[in-house]
Amino acid sequence: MTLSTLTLRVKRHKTTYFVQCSATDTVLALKRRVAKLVGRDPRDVRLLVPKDKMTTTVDYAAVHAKDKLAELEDKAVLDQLGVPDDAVVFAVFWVPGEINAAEGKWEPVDLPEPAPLVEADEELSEAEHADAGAPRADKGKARA
Amino acid sequence: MADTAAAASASKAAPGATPLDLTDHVRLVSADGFEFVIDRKCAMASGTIKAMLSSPARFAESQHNVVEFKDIKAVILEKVCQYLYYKVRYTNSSTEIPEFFLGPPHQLLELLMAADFLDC
Repeated sequence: MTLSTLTLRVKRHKTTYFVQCSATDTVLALKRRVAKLVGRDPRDVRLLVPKDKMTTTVDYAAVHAKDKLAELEDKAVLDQLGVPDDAVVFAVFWVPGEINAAEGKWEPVDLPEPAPLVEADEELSEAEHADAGAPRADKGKARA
Repeated sequence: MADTAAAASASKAAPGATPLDLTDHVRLVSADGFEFVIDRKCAMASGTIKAMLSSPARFAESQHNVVEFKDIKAVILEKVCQYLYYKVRYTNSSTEIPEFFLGPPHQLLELLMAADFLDC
């Protein structure tokens, strides 16, 4: 009997945690694994997913827009939620209040976008074209 | 004494990052400062990372379980991590192996170079 193992990417700030769990695990079990990785209490970890559909890619605009993310309930089972393999889940930690530890708040979801790949190359090729064009233009003027 | 010194140097090695308490996970850091925490077993699927982590005290990485890649961007490194999990999952597997999605074409060259460097 094959156990359906899910590999999920839990993202927070600039770190991505690759967490493996079973499709029959509850959200709380997943939180426990994440909490163990970061050395925190599972109750101080909150997991969020995009409201419409769980995907394997990150929509950075949706992540920062309000009300586009839904929190995962502890008791829910991953299989029943329809979490696909290689899905992206967002995590935030509880920040205890400075004066009163009991009062505090959840961090806002903040996901910086990684550096794009192609931009630098496009700028280079444009500069090359500009250099190649200049001497040609001068030659044309000299002839005229 | 040695433990506190190791802990102090570990926290210096990964500034601002939450400490990695487990020895069965490895932290890979990309050129643009993004971090990927993966199973040690999957990290070992890369020949280069395996050498870095196994070699006795020759590489600083073997002590803190952190490997920095100053030449590999986050987008590429993430793809590599996904591949390492895929490799471990389906190596010596009798089940049908699904195709691994390599990503958009403009990314392929850097991905190839990273895979070559990482020997995976």
